[in-house]
Formats: sequence, structure tokens, C-alpha cells
Amino acid sequence: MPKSLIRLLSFFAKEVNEIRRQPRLVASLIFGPFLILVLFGAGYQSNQPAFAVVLVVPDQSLGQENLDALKKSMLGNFHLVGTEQTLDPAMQKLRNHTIDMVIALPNDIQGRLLRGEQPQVDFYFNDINPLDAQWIQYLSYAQVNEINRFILQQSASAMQSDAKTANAQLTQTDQQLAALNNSLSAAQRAQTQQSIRDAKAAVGVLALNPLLASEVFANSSSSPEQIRQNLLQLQKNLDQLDQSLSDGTIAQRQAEISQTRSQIEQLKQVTSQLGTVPPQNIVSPLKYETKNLSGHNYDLMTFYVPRVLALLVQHIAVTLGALALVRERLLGAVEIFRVAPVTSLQVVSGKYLGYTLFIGIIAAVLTALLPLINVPEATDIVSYIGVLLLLTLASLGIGFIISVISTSDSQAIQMSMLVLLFSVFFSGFFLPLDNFSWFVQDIANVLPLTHGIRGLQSVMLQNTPVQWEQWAWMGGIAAIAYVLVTIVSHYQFRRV
Amino acid sequence: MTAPGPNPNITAPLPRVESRPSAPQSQAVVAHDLNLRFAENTGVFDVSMNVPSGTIFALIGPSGCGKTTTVRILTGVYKAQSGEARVLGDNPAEFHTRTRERIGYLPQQFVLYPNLTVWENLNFVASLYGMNYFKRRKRLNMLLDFVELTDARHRLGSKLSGGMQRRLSLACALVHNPALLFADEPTAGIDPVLRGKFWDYFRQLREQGQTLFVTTQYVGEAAYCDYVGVMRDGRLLFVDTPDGLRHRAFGGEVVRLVVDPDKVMQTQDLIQRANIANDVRRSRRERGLLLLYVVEASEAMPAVVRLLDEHQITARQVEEYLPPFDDVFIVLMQQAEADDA
Repeated sequence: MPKSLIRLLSFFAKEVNEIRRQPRLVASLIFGPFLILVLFGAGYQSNQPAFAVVLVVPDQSLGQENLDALKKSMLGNFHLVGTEQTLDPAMQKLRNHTIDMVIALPNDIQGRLLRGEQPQVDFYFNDINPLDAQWIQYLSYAQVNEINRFILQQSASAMQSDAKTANAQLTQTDQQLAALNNSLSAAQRAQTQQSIRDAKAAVGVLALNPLLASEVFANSSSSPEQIRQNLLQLQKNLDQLDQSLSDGTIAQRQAEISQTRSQIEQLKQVTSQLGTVPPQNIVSPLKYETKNLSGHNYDLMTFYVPRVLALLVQHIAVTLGALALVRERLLGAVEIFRVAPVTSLQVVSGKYLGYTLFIGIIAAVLTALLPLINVPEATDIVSYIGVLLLLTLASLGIGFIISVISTSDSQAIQMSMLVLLFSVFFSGFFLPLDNFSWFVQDIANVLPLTHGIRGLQSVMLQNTPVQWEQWAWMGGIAAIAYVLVTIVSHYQFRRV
Repeated sequence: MTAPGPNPNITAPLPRVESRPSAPQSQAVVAHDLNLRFAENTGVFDVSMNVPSGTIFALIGPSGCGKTTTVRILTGVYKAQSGEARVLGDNPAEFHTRTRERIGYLPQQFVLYPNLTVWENLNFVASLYGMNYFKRRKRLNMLLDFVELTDARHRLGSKLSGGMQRRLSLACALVHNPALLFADEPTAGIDPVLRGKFWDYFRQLREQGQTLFVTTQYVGEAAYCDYVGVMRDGRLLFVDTPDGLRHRAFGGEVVRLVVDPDKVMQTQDLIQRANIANDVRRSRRERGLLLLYVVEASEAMPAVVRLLDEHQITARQVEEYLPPFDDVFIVLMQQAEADDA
């Protein structure tokens, strides 16, 4: 075997021996990540965040029945811990941080609606966390929609009841109008007049209901405004007929009678149709369903497994690399290397080999354990190994760069932790990279983790080929870092 | 100490030793006017020396005098700012791989790996020097025997005592059987018994034809060397044999003479008037003891005895006295200080 190869392998063997002499380290590196994954899967609650809420309901706001129904409609994120009739006690609890939110309903909702006002629901919170604030804004919007829907459903039910009554009354009125051509007795005239007045009242109730004149009942033949105008015209005609019956000129009103009957017929159709539509369909006419073309519906833990695996590989590699050369310098072994016939290239390459083998073993054990937590195995095993290998080499490169510029092991560890922190924020691990400005996205590209996550996600979850950009970035980082480290360590190892 | 084998051919800025080689001999180390300045008065200055092959050369001097810096220049760790050096015929600043393979280095500190066993540490250094995997085992076993670490071969570096760590370092420095060994303070901080063993190892190596370049703070260890360089404040003051250094310190040899205490004054006066010794000093610690500083003890002692016989003074003891090197070193340092002043 050539001497240069023996020298290179000396570091490989040394690193492997040193690492295997630390069984706790090996165990923590292999089983620690697995336990973290299990803990994450078992402990993650997807309905977070949860806010403790006190609901303020003024006396005249809702009846008990409506209040119970409203409580049931509260979103899962709002954990209702109490109800108050006035704002002050609830706000005191909020100031004391014994609750997270106060939802204050307005007074006299129905009356204010009928007066044309738009009552307001106030959501109070006392928090400095901007993420919580964003959640509360979104959840408040969603909760008000829920309340609105609740009110609309109540209104729709009432309207259906009114429409049913109006339909019966209109049928009766129509029959009596049909008989107006014959001579009427005084009693019959009075009965017809009463029927006309009842119909007018029923039409008036319908005209006041905002739902009837809404887009919900608009169709190609009648717009919401037309419906309203028809109702008003019908009321006017019924008034005239009532008057004609009173002054005995009903025989001259045949044209109006015919027009009124036609309008009554139209309105009967509408009111009849209203009774067949469920109230929730009136309030929420459209429903929705999502369809995922990826064909996979992973749970959150499975989705995060490639990310956690990539993060662990990068972190272990960066940490090992960061300590690799600085430890030799602190120990003083570099002095022996300077005298011995060994080159910096052999030192660096040997260490790369040793660490790559060690990380490969950790990755293999973790991969073997993944089926235990129902994570699918990669179908393209060659790409899977390739991504892990390049991620390891690129991360080792980052670690070795830290090692050549660090003057102490604590500094090296500190810088490794900074890389970890930077990676968690800017690699797409938690927050999508699209949420960041373009320059941050560019910076994220120099992190091996960014491409490791994408690569592993492709082969483990999407079953699609790894994009060439991922190969290129990881390969590029690994190559540039290796060359850089070799050059710098060459000068550090030789003359002083 | 044992007498030097070959005659030295050593140069130094100060007067050279009188003995000269009778036949040409290869030089393991040749240095001429080496300079490396770290700060105003820190570094090494105008260091020149020749170290013949197959000898033990010691650099002696107080801590911080430039011994380690000199070794580092000669091993290629540091690059001299000026001057020339040849180690095994090669320039240390541009050592060829083959030259490096012939040099062993024992640094001042234990720089091996605490998480590796004795065997693994030794094996690692053997690999650094490119030793064949299948042929090294015999050599490693022999070295462990040599430094008496065979029983501790599976012990971790962190579990070794200080003395064992030094012995392991020595074994690592010798693993590739170097022609020239640089040992930087190999006996610092270890007990006298182990120090004695180290010098036994070094003598064995010299007998095998290897050259040893050793630095030490223990002045007494100069006695074990063939040649000694004395350093002070970054300068190499003298290079000589151990006996040569005594001559240099005391202007010759020293004779120890013991007479009756009541005859001391008379004896001192007689010897001074007879011009047998350059100087005669009475001991304050031991009554009746006189130290005679002479050119040649072998010639002076019979003359002293004759003189005392003539004056009917009984010489209780007359012998050549070899002052400890601690004394030699102190005198040399005092002389250097006086010269500087």
C-alpha cells in the first residue's frame, strides 16, 4: 500500500477509534435523534395555539338558548373558561394574565341590525408575542364568521317560518280575489278585506327580512331589487283593492285584481321554494373539498422526519468538523504533524473519511428505525444515500471551516450552535423560505440543510427525483469548503 | 560520564573547543547564524553549531532561553528569518518527505491522544510515517519492550501516569527508527529514576548509531552527553564537551586537598608561593579542605604531595574533583553576565 494512503488512513482509523471510545456519545447520537422524533410525534398537538377565553354577553344580547348554541360554535382554539355580563371583570382577568382573551358581544344585536347598524364583536388580548397576535387576528376573523353564520341561520329559520305563513295567507287571499267577480255579501267583503290585510302584513314581514332580498334568492328572472320592488308593488296593489272593497268600486278594478293575483302567484312560488332549502344552505350556499394531487396525506411527524434527519446529519457533521482541527491544535498534535512526513491534505482527507463513515453509520441505524414510527422508506435508495452523503460532506466542510478559524474548542462549539440556529430559521425547516426576502433566500442556499431537506423530502415523501439544483448546491458547497479548508490548514500546519 | 566517541567539530560564536576531529565525520546538524526574532529580546540570535552523527548533543539553559525555538527551527516547525541550517543534509524550511521520515521528534508536552490506547497511539504515529501495516507489529512490540510499556499497551492515554506518557512519547518518536532524534526537554517534570532510564535509552540509541539532539533544564544531565551547548537569552554561549565546559568554567581542573585544619593556612600559602595552582580556595563548610584550580590535575597532584612532604604536612586526601554541572553552569552564567556588563 502506498505510504501516502497509509498516512491518510491513519487519521481515518484514529478518528474512528476515538469516537468508538465514547459509547455514550455514540448512543446519544444514534438513539437521541430517534427519541426526539418519537417525542415529537407523540407530543405534538396540531390544534395549537389554545387561548383561554371569557365571553362577555350583555343581558339583552342573546337568550339562553342562543347563548348555548353560540358556545357550541366556538372554535377549538378558544377554550371557554367563563361568561360575564359586563366587560370589566373579564378585562381584569385579562390584565392579570389569568386568561388569554376576552370576546365581548355587542348589546341588542337584533334590534341594532333592524336599525341598519352593524354591531361589533370585540376581541381583547394581552400578549407581546407577534405570532400569537397573528393567530388571534386570524381566529377572531374566523370566530366572527362563525357568529355571523349562527345569526344568519337563526334568521333563515325565522324567515322560513314567516314565508310558510305568508304562503298560506297568499293562497287564501288569491282564492278570495278569484271570487271577487261575483256579487259579495257584506260579510264576504269584510272577510276578503281581512284576508287582503293579513296578506299585506305577511308580505311586509318578508320585505323586512334581509335574506329574502339578498343575492341568495336572486335568479335569472328576478334580481334582489326586483324581488323587493315586487313585494312593495304587491303591498300597494293590495292596499288599492282594500280601498276599492271599502268604497264599492271593486268591479272597476279587474285589471289590478288580475295583476295582483299574478304577483301573488310569483311570491307563492318563492315562499314555497324557501321552505324546501335547509337553513344552513341558505347561510352557506357553497361547500368545499380539497383534493391533493401528490396522492399522499402524511401526518405532521412523518412530514418532519426528513427535515429532522437532515438537520441531525448537518449538526453532527458540523460539530465533528468544527472540533476536528482546533482540537489537534489545542492538544499540540499539530506540532508532530509539522515534523512528520504528512501533508495537510492527508490530515483533512483522513478526518473527512472517518467522520463520513461515522455519520453514515448513524444515518443507517436511524433509517432502519424509521419504519418503527411508520415513516415510509425511500424508494430510490441510491438517491437517498447520495443526498445523505453530499449533505454530510458539505456539512463537514462548514464544520472544518469553523475549525480552521476557531482558536478554542468553546469558540468552535459556539459557532456550530450559531450554524444550527441559522439553519433552523433560514433553511425552510420550520418557516417556508418563500416567506423571506430574496436576499435571505439567497443566503439560505449556502446552507447544506436547505438542500438536504428538499432532497430527502423528494426521495422519502414525494417519490420524485431529486432536483439537479440540490445536487449542484450540496456538491458545490462540499467541494469549495474542502479546497478552502485544505489550503488554510496547509498554511496553518507548516511554517510559523 | 562516558568519554565522547568521536572528536567534535562544533562551532559557536564564542571560543571553540580545542579538540578537533582527527578524521572527517558526517554532520547530522549544521547551523550557521540562525536568527528568529519574536520580539525585541525574544527569539534566537546568531545560533551556530555542528552536531556530528552518532552523538548526543544537549542544549542547556534556563527556561525561555531559546532551546525549544532552536529545536523547532531545526525540525522545520519554525522558519528562521536569517541564517542557514542543514539537518541530515536538507534545509529544514523545505524538508523533503524522505528527510522527514528520518527524523524523530519528541515534543515538550504529551501531545498524543487520551482516548486512544498506548498501542493505538503508537500505531497512529507509525501510520503517519507510512510504515507498512504488516511489518510494523514487530517494531511496535520491540519499542513497547524498550520503554517498558508492554503491560500497559491496552491502557488509554488518559489513564497513563506522567512518566508513562513521556515513555509513550519517546516510543512514538522512535517508531520509525529515525537517524536523528530531537527530544525537547524529555526529562522535564519526571522523577530522577525515570530520568536515569531515559538517559539509558538515549545512550543505547547512540550505541546503535543514532544521533540525539536533546534540550534540558537539568544542568546535571550535561554529564550524559557528548557535546553540550549552553544557551542564554536566545544566544548559544558555548558548545563544548562536558569536560571542556568545566575547563571553561574553572580555567582548568580542580584538585581536592584535605589537610589538618590547623595546617590549612600554611598549606594554602605554600601552594600559592610554589605556583602549582592558578588559585587556592579554602572551604568554609568543611574544615581542612582546600580546592586547587590547576591546569592539569594529573601533573599538579604529585607536585602538591611532594611539597607537603618537604614541609612535613600530612595530606589526608588528594584527588581530582569534578564539580557538579550545576556549579559549572552557575559559573559560566556569571562569566557571561560579567562579559555582558
